[in-house]
Amino acid sequence: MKAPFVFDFPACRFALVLSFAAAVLTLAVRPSSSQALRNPSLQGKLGGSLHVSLRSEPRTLNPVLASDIASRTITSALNADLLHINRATDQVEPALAVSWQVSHNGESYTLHLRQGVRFSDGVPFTADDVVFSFNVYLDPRLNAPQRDLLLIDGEPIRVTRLGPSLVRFDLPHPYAAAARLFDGITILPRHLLESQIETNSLSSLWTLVTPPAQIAGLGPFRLKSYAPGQSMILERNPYFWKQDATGRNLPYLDEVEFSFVPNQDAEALHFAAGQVDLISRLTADSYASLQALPSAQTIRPIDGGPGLEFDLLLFNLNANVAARPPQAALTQQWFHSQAFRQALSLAVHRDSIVHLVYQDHAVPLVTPVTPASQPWANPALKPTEPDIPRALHLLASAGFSLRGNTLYDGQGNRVHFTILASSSNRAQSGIATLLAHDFTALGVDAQVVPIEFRSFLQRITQSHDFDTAVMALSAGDTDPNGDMSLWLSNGNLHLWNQGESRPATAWQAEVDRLMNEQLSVTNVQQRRILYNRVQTIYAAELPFLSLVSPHMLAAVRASLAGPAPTPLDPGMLDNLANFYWQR
Amino acid sequence: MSTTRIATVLIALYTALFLFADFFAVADPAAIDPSLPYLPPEAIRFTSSSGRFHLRPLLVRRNPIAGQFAAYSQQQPALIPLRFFVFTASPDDPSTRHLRICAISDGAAHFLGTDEFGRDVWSRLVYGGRLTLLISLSAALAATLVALAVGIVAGYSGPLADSALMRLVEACMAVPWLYLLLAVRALLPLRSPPIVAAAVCALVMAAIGWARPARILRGAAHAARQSAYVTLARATGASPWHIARWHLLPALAPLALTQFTVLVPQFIAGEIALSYFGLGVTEPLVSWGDMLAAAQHLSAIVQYPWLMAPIWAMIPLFFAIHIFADRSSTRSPLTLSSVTRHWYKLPRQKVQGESPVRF
Repeated sequence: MKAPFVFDFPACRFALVLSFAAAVLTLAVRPSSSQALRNPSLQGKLGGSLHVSLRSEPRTLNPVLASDIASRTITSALNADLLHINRATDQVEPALAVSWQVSHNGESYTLHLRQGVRFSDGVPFTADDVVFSFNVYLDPRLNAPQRDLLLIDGEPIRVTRLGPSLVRFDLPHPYAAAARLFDGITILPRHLLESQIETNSLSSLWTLVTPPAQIAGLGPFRLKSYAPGQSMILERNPYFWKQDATGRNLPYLDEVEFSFVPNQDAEALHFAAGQVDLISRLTADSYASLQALPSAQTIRPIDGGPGLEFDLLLFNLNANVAARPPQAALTQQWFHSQAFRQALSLAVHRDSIVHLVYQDHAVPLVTPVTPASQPWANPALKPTEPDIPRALHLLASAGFSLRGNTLYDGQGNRVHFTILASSSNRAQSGIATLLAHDFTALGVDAQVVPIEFRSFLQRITQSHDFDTAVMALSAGDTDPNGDMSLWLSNGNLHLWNQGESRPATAWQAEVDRLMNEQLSVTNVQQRRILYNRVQTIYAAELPFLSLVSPHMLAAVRASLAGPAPTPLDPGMLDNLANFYWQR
Repeated sequence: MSTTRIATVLIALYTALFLFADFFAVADPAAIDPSLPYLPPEAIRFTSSSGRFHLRPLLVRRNPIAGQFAAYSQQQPALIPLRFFVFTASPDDPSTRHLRICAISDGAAHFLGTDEFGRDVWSRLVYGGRLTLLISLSAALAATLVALAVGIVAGYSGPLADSALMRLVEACMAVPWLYLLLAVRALLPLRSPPIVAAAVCALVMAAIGWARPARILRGAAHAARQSAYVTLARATGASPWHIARWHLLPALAPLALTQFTVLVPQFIAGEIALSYFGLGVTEPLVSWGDMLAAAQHLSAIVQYPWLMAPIWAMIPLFFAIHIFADRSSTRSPLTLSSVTRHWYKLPRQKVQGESPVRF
């Protein structure tokens, strides 16, 4: 019941993180450890096995379909991509492609493939595999979830084989940060899948019951065995193409065992007992209690700083509320007032949320751009300090009046609304409690309604039957392109007003224009100016309140070298090939 | 002192505590204090810092360590005199004033510590216990009464009604309640006042809880129906209503009481589960289920054990309820022997000669 619940919209690389126990997508801002492990002069020791716990079982081993955390974590260890974003520097680096050239108009990418690379079953890797893989992703009949990612303005990327190790990608339009698109697009073995894909659907390929011999990848590990409900064991891929600075073949570890532990407390206890060597996505509670356990000296706690996840208070500004009760129309009338939203923002003690809910492992926010995407944050915007007199002044200017301890609107209605929160998520229901408390200072009666996660999601995304909701969102990338679905009026994570056929307000139209413009501009400075304007508009309009961004908390066995939190998928395990035991 | 007397005293104490919750609680249960999260239980002492005896109890208040979360200094605690029988105003609504058993000059003493938001655990325990007991006792009472009625009807009347009722019970036990509960939550308006949510919580538990005891009571009613005294009563022409009232009900009463006492703790646990689906007690109301649901994490056990206070409060209460129920069922005038005595009065006038059954 307590499995992390990252509800994914893979098509937009922007995930809705509503976890049963606050999930944390992870970043690289801890130079101390990450530098050491990425320093080529530091060589690791070979051998040993690593025990990692996952909150749920993987649903598939097919990297094209993997969308839940467990499947993505495991498939990322089994597979490789052409270009890879270095999680420590956030720059695109060569992986299966050794180099790439961009044409002058920015529409054509030519990639030189690494030579002498073999799949984990020993079959050589060629340009045919690349073309095959992209065709799998792009074939509309196969309906791959990530297909939308590779569509630019609705048109697919074209892939052409120029030689045994030369491939050209043609984009329909110039696209900012196009090289980042290659990260996470797995190269599949044509020799194993081509014959099957003609006859079978994509979802029947590489399921959990597929024998390990029929699965091959280009990642550091390959599948050894799977015991349903218990564990999945990966072994070293002897053909892995990466080497360390001394020319030794990676990975260092012989085996990685993923065991399935459904709840965070059990996970922490397994960790304390030495049965698990690494846990990521820790809540602040568990992070603190791990250090209080007797085995604390063998544990290295890692506070990776803020990730891409953030908590927000969503106002229901949806125009298409299913069956609109009169009260909903009334609350929406308040929420449509810009001054009302700003006043609520001024009443929120973000520091209290950071302190009480996240035990100081979080940062207050002013926009959805978290410190993990620092280069893109508008430096002119600072987190708002609570200012009740100013908030009351704003409310008065919008026709609200405070009588006694109660706020009334212009028509004399008492201002009260509900705050929806997922009952299984302690952090989010805690935030809702604190917000309701903060709003009493304005005379606003906010009632916290904790509700089961699935009906929560249903109300937010489908029936739109809610007033306000506390939830978490997480960008899929540090680049603003990862936020398109949040900002655009027709984006599928444009949660405050879903399904706008055209922008509902003038400022929304401006945001749409700016976001689309930055998409095709390749000059970084120019993109930054455009994105800063989006943030300035957001901070004035506040269609939702950005509250705080929790830190990425993790704990590893003290003698394990290599793990460093990173905000991008698959978090700490991205660097799995370089993990080694120090003794 | 006999166990019955201990149980009686305990029940009386809890009843007084819950009836006068406003007096015994030292703070508003929903009042948040961001400066004191997870404050450990505070002690009182009778000596001042210089070691002199002090008749007025002094509260030992440890100061938060700046820059650390929920860390309180062990050095030089502040000693704050306790004042008794104080009128305090609620911070959110100054118009409501409560007479509290004690207070300190600038707030409340936290005898059982505070929770994650600096809310007083003792006050939440008192207010929460009142609501929890109200919900679980009324739900258990409703469920037991329904079970008793169904059990007697099914156990005594003919095989048709019996099997119809038992199929109903089985259907009720087979319903996937989880999904039904979700549907109930979806139907309820979000804006329902918290007290309505609490009433729905009781109703839902009674609706689920009656089936199992009904089956057990039906078995007992069935057995009683076969007994000689019921046969005799029937032979003497007693009406079914008479037999149900004077023979079956007394025979089933002890069992029903036991079922009732088993249901109460079950329903307290059930309330925790319901909170999970958004059907339970919600803020600003507080219940034990709420408190325990909030303490369902490792750190509550490892670092903040005082959050488990409802468990410690529950143990003596359940003990008392069990003893009380046990004793009252055996001592009640409605026991088997008293029934037979009562039954003797009737046939003596009607049946001539020797009674077919001897006791």
